[in-house]
Order: sequence, then C-alpha cells, then structure tokens
Amino acid sequence: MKWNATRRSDPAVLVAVTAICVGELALAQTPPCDALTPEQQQAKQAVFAALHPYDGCDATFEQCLAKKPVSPVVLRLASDICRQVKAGRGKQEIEHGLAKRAQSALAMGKPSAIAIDSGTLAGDPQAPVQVVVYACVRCPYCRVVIPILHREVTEGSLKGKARLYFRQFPLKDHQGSTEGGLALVAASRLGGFWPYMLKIYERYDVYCPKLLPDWAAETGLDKAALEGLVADPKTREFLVASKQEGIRNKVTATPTLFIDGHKYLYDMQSEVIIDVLHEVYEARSAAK
Amino acid sequence: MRGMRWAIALRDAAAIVAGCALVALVFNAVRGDGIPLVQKEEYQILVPCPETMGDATALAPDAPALRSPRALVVDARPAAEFERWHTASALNVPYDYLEPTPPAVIQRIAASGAAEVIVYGDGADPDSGEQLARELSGKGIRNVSYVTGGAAALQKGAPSGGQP
Repeated sequence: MKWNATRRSDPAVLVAVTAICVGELALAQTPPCDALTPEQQQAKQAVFAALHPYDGCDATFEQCLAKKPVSPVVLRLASDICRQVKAGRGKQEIEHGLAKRAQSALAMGKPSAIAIDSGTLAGDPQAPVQVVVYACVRCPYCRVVIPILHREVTEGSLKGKARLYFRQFPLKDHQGSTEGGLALVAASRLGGFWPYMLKIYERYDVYCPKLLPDWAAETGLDKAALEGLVADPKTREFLVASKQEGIRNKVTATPTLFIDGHKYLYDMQSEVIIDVLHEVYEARSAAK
Repeated sequence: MRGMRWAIALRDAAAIVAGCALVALVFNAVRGDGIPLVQKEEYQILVPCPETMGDATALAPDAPALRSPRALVVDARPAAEFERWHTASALNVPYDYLEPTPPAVIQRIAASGAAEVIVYGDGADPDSGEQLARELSGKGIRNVSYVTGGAAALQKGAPSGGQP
C-alpha cells in the first residue's frame, strides 16, 4: 500500500524532492558546507532557515539556495556561514557577523578621508577596488596578513580586481615601530616600498632598527639616501600625520583595513578578507 | 618498612592518575564534541594588535573640577607652547604620537596623590590632550579626563587671558 502511494508520484513530493536537489546542488558549490559533521549540518540548516542574505536575494538562505540560478553573493555568504558553524559559532553570533560583513562590503555612509601615498601601491593601479591598510611594522598579525594581501593583489586571485595601499600606524607598545615606520616612509620616497616592507616582515624575528639600512640595501635601495631621509624631520612629520589620520579614522589596532574608504569591521582572517574583496569586486562589476 | 610505605603510596597515586586519565579519555571519546587528541588544524592565535588606550572623560573648559585643589592638571602640548601659556600649576607632559610617555612621568603622576588627572592639549583633531589622557588611563592612572577644545578653549574662558 505504501509502495503504491509513492509510485503515484504525488506532485507535492516531486516539488519537495526537486527543491532539495536544487538546494543540495547549490550547496555543492560551497565546499565549507560539505566539510561539516552531521551535528554541524543541523546547526547550519537552522541558520539557513532563519537568516536572510543582505544582498542577492530577499528570502531566507534556505529559499535563496533553492532558487536557480543561485546568486553568487548568496553562495559566498552561505560558505561563510558554514565556516562559522564549523568554528562553533551560534546563530546569534553568525547574525552579528553577517551584519558586520554587510557594513564592510556594502559601501554605506561617507567614506573616510585617507591621503593615499602612491609610493605604497601594490597591484594594478586601475583595479577597481581600493584597499588601504593601516599597519605597524612590528605588529605580528600584520606580518601574517599583509604579505598574503600583497601576493593576492599582485599575482593572486585579486590581481586586476583590487589595489592595495599601505598607511603607517606605528604602535607605541611595539619597540622599534617608529624606526621601522621612518625607514618605510623613506623607502616609499625612494620608490622601493614593497620589497623592503616584505623583507622587514620576513625577518620579523630578527628585527633590529640598526639593521634597517642594510636590509634596504639588500632590496636595491640606496642605503645613504635612506639614512638621509630617515633623519629628515619631514619624514617624521609624515609618519605622525599618517598616525593622526588613522586616529581620525577610528583606527585603534593594526592591521585595520578600509575598502573604498569604508572601515572593514569583519573577520580578520586573510581568507575571509579576500572573500569579502571578491564580493565587493563582483558587486562593483554587476553594477556596471 | 618506611621505604615500603612510600612505594605503596606512589603506586596508589600512579593508579589513581592512570584511572582518572582513562576515565577522561573514555568520556572524551563518548561525548559528541570531544576534544581532538591531535590538533589537525593550526590554531589561530594571532589577533590584531591594539594601541593601549583607556577611557577618559570629556570635560568642558569651564568645569569646576579644573579648579579643584585635588586635581592634577597636565598640559600635553610641546614645551614651547607650554612656555607661552599654561594654566596655573599645570605639569607639562608633551604628547608624542610615536613614542610612549616615559614611565618616570607616569610614575610621577601616579605618585602625585591627585584625586583626578585633567589633561588639556592642542584641541586639534585628533586632540593631543585626549590622546594623552587615554594613554595615561591605559597605563593604569585612574580618573583621567581631558578638556574639550584644549588650551585654546581654556584661554578663551580665562578672564585674565591665562595664568602663566
């Protein structure tokens, strides 16, 4: 009897099965969701049923993922939710995170005033998305994130999509941050900012201000010229002005990123930052 | 005989530790979200580095607290500007955006016995007075406030044009 009932192919069952299949197909494009345990899958499903993406679709994640074609931004956000579920975050925390991501990705409000130092540009100057990072030469997290971002915009997936600028924000608690900051301002003036910056981060554990001119020479910079610029009071003024600008823009820690002049408030893991930058680029391309 | 007792005590202790470890391992294996015995993913221990800043209260230039004998008034402007004008009994601690305030100066403020520390600076954006006040607060000085508008606002309000 039961067998016969199933064989009659109730249209409602067919619709439900199709919806599930389409949803699963969409999720197949979100690798972080595949890696979840059965318990995490359950938690994810509850979040998908309750939360709405902030862009790309007006319904819940569950309904948006069942639509065809699925909006790329919805897929990105769904993957991000799965990553957060995997990290053990609850619905409320994920919802809060989603709001922060929205604030970071959607250019809302007036952009901050940032004086761009063209000597610190990395990537294609024509790339549509502008990323500015306020960083300290002695910040251990900057040392991890900044070389990754630099690689992404110069030769990685963000090449031609995003351009990166560096702004100095030397932290007082970091010994040698002022000397490093002055040397970097000088390197920017001499046209060799990034090779020098990357070398300083590469040698983070053996950092010593006295060695900075020698490291500059290793990257092809004129050691005497760099030392001259470091001693120039204008270099210090420039460094102070950069820090003051950061304070005006509510920078309280390093690294702090600004995407198209808007403060990035979301997760600081490099893969998440890169994901948000892709989202901004895609939104920008779609708007054209 | 005494050595024998020690050996027994050690044996019992080892048995208890081994028993506890076994119970813990079994419990960890049985529970749904047990702690992995081998960490397969790298721990994310790095976090953005904050500038050490504490809370400081904004104070109007005509606040009565500025005239309190129990308040220590600090001028955060450069020495040359301090020489030109400062409030009576103000202590000059020039604020540096790059270098931390010397520990000896913080020690001196802490040892002053003042019930409140009031800082004024250049009144610019950012205001050196607010920045110094927040740095002092972050370094453990209590009841720190700053004058909004800085020295310029104080000078405007001073009937005699200042008290050098």
